[in-house]
Parts: sequence; structure tokens; C-alpha cells
Amino acid sequence: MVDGPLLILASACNPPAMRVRSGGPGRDSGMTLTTDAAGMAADLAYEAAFTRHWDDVFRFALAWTNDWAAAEDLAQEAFLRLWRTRGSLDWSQPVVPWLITTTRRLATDRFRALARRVTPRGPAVPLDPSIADRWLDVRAAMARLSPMERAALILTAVEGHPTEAVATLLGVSAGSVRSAVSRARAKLEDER
Amino acid sequence: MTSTDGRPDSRADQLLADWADLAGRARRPMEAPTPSGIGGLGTVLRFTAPMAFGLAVVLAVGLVMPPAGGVGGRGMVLAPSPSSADACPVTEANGVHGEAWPATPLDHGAQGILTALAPGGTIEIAAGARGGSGLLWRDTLFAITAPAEAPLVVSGHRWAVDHTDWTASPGTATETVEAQYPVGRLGAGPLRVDLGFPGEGCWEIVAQAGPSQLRYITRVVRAPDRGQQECLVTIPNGAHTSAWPASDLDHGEGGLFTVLWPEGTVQIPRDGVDADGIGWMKFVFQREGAAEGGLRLAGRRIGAETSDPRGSIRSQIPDGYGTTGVQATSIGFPAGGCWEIIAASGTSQLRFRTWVEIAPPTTADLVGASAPVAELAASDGGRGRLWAPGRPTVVTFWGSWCPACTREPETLAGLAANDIDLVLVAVKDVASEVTAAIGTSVLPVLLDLDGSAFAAYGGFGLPLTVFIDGEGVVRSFVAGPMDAASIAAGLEAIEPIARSFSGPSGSPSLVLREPEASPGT
Repeated sequence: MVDGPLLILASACNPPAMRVRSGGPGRDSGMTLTTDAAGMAADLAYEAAFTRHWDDVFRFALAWTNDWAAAEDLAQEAFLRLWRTRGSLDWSQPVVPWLITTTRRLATDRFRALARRVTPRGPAVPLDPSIADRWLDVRAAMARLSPMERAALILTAVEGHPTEAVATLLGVSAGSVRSAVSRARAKLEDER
Repeated sequence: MTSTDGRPDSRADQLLADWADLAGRARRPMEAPTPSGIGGLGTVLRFTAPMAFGLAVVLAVGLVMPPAGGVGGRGMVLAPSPSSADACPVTEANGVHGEAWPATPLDHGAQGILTALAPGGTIEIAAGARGGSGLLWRDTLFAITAPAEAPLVVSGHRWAVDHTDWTASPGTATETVEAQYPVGRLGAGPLRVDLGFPGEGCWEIVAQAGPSQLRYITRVVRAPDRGQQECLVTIPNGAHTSAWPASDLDHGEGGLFTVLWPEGTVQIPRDGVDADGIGWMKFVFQREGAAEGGLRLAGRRIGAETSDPRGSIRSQIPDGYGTTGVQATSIGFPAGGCWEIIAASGTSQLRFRTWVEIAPPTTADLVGASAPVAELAASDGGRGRLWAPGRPTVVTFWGSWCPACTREPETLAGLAANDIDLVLVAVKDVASEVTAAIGTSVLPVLLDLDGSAFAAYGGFGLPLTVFIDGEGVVRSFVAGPMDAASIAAGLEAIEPIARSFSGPSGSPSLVLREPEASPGT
């Protein structure tokens, strides 16, 4: 019904911090009142993140996978993860790096179960038929790049992030980002 | 066609412009994806009018979001704590309690407003534990009984030593405590109010219900652990070598390759932890081309002070692998957390960041092993060691705030007739409360303020009593209150120090001493 000091009534006493860590942010179901104001704050923060950053996440996922349907699924999955962890997330930190890193992690092949789940589903082209043909052209050109090259190029050239920030997002050195960008540009020019 | 800087648009730029145009046409889902649709604004709209004010507060604090381009930047920074924690005259619970919850030693009330204070008067808040807004959130229980019969309003402000006029204006806007209420702020049942503190320090909380008022002073500290989610672990970049089958954990750069651990997390089981508490894990590297040469490893724990000896990795790089090809290694992590590893070989360098979890010992794991050494503050103001070599020691972890522990100091003191050291360790406690609980005990009392010593002994619940022999080896323990039988068994295990001494047999210095009769009677 309630958490907090009542837990110490158990026969063994758990020190406060351990309770905080194990119980998490009051999310241990059955132990919280249904209306949870801090939980509401997290819900609203999540809502705001969704409204503001869904496009960012989709575009990153599209850059990484070069697959429209997979990118939609990945963005969806990344926001599901954000939803599940919203109560324990430090919302004072920028949420975009968290979302991008999560998306990249989800997109990486080592999450094979998820990869199986996301790849075959849905059409490979945008649902809007007016842009489907154009997308297939762009996709074919972009397919010559590796995920890292595409992501580095698009995060810098399209999204306008500084190289250092992109390096942080992609977990590589700034030098790697620069060389990935120049490789990517060379490959795209070469395609002409 | 030229771009703004006069250069002709390249094919790459055209493609990127196309890409951006197309990607911008993605159709966003109509609703935020949540498992059951319970998130988002639907939740908000179900609340009724009395919640409107609270909602406004939530909106105000909950939507402090970084700008879209805030990559790598920082959001709100918590206010530093201007007042020393020791200068905070925390309110001691007066024991007034009601029907809302079973009586605890932390119950505090006046004029029909009841609450439960934090153990030791100190609210410890894990960073990010409550989410939202940059405030440190902690739920607090209240109940309203007669004569207070009005909705509860909780406010708070930073308490200063010279703040003698309690009716004065309570500080600036950033120095006040936010409160979030459950629906309906009335009733004898427990009301869980979330208090949002702008920072660490000493705070006075004022709970009002109509004319009734309850005030108390509490200390707020922030738990240091920042957690795994802030460790941006390296995602394997997929660079692989023919030296081993390609896997999705391959990571490499400049001819230097390794295989990262799944989920960016190194999980070290208990049997991977050596006597010094260092957790060891294998890493294999492949050296090709520019990376041919002797492998060197370095690593630091993110956030560790440069002087912290437990802030850098240990490494074992066995000889015999030559200067090219595979090199097996072991990396020793002195602590869990977020680590950045740098491997260098030849002219190549490979960096990666990983989260490390070292399985904590349980007290049972420690039986037969060296007792962890800890030097702690003593309740008399000095410092003391948990145990010292040469004499058997009985250590009882305890807390003045722990109702199951009330008899332990007395029980432990009852062992004083034996030729052993007795140490009482107050976990997450403060000296004043310890003194209030047991008076000026004959026992040396150490303060384990952050619970780290308790954790080092694998403690899970209080009380915990550990029997350490004269050589510093844990021989036995009692989880929970001691009784005569467990005391006898524990003392039996540590008393005959002479028997366990591996000296030459028949040495006259070895005097077998019979264990004395069990005390505790």
C-alpha cells in the first residue's frame, strides 16, 4: 500500500539507500498509491520527449538502417524503452543521446531477436506512395555506405551536430567520425 | 546550380537534401507508443479539477527538457549545498502516531498532522531515482486526523542556522520545496506526498491542514551513484578480423580488434573476484598491420579521482603470444561502474567504454575469507577500525532506526566478559541518534554513514553479527537478532585461535584455551 519507512517493520531492517536502489523510483507495483505525482512528472517528461524528438530518433534510425519500416519500428521500440525506464531516468540530462544510443543498440545485430522482429515487418518503402519511388533511389545510393558512415554523414551534414557530439553519440573518436564522413562523401560522389 | 557558398552542389549534397526531405515526411504515430496507452496526456485528463494546481506544478517542473540540439550538453544543474550537513539540527521523531500505519520509531506528529521522518533525519535520494525536473524527489507519508480536518498543504524552505524567525519569508523561489499530492489531500489514511528538493542540504518542512501545523527539519543528501544509464557504453562497431568468427560483438580500429561483452556490460561473478576485491574478466585482442607490437592496456573508471587507486584497471598480459595475432588478457576492475578502456598496440589504439558489475559478496561468501577492512568514524568523534589483527572480534551491524535491532547492543555488550573485541556499527545512522538509543555505551560504536562497510560484509538486513577470528578471518555470522545458541556457535568458531594457528606442533607458545561458557545468559 505504501512504501517508505514502513518497510523497516520487517524483521530485518534494510538500510534506506538499499531500499531506494532495489525498489527503484516507487515503481514496485503494489507498494505505491495509484496516483504518483513524481510518476506523472516522468510521464509528462516522456510525453514531451516523444513530441519533440520522435523525428530525431526516426531520422537517426533511418540513417543507420537505410530501411524505412525498420526505422519506424526502431523509433517505436526506442520510445517504448524510454517509457519503461522513464521513472528511473535522470531527466535533467539531455534525452536525445539516450534515445540515439538506445536506438543504435537496438539496431545493432547483436540484438538478434529484435532484428528478426523488426526486419521482415512492414513495407520497405514509405507508406506514402508519392515519395516511395524517390526513396528507393536515395536508398540505393545510401546503401553503398556502412551504417556508421551513413549515420556520421547524416548527423553532421543533415542534423548539423558538431563532430565531437556525433562522436559521443556513435561511441567512436572524433577522428573516426571525420574519416567516416569523408569516406561517405567520396562514395556518394563516386556513384555519379 | 550552386549552393550558398558558391560551390556547385555535389551529388552527395543533392542526395542528402533528398534524404532530409524524404525523412522529414515520416509519419509520426498519433499517440506516444506506450505499452497500454496509459502514458501521456490521457493520464492527465483523467484527473479532476482539484488536481489542476498540482498539475500546473508538474507541468512546470516536468517539462524542463533539453533543447533538441542538446547533444552532449548538460541540462539543469542542481544547486550546490551551501550548508554543511553537520550544521543541520534535524528533528528527532516525537513518537506521535496514528492509525494510518503501524507505529514506528520514526513517527512524528503534532496537532493532528502525522508523518514518518527519515532514518537519522536524513533523506537520501538516489540520483535520477524520481525522474523529472532536476529536483530531488522523495515521497513522504502524511496522515490527517482530528483536530486537523482540512486538505494537507506541504511546503518547505532551506533551513539556515541564523534562520531564527520561522514566520519570516522562506527564502527565494529556487530555495523552496515543491510538493506533489495524491488526489484528495484529506483523510486518516496515508497520504504519500512527493517532496521535490532543489538540492542537498538542510530543509525545514511545514505541513499545514487548516489551522494545524507540523514543522520539522530534515537533511537531504544525494546518493553518489549515477547509474548505468549514464554510462554511454560502446556499441561494437562491427569491425571484425579473420582471426575469429565474425560476431555482432566485434569491435576494432586500426588493425586492433577485440570482442566486447554483450549489452556493454561486464558481469563478474563472485569467483572472478580475487582476495583484494578486484574483479577479473578475460578480453582477447587481435593485432594486425599497424597494430602489430606489444599490447598495452590502460583504463580508468569514469568519475573516479585521479588519485583513487581503485580508479584504474589492473591487467594481466601473458607473454608468449608474440607481437602479432591473438593476445589473450585479463582486465581487473577494482570496482564496478562505468569504465573506459584503452588498448594500444603498435601505432593503433582501441578505446571502448563498458559498464562493470561485480557480484557483491554475501556474508556467507566471506566465511573463511579475510574480513573486509574498514576504518570508520566513531560516535565519540574519533575514528576506529572495524577489527584489528591479533584479537578475535565480534562486529554487530545495527541501526538506531531499526526496530528489529533494539536488543542487539545489549546482547553484544553481554559478551564483554570474553577476551575478544566487540564493535557495534551503526549503519546509516547519526551519532546523536545512536547516543539517544543506547546512551554512552561501553561498546565502541562506529558509524557506517553510507552503508559501505555493511555492504562490504554482504549485509542485506539489520541486524547482522560477524565473528572474526584473531587472524582476521570471518568464521561465522548471524543474520538477524542473536540468540544464545548462535552466540555460542559464533564464539566457538573464533575463540580457539591457538588451534587454528599453523605454528609448529608442540610449541610451548601454543596454549589451547577452552572456549568459555556461553554468555548471553
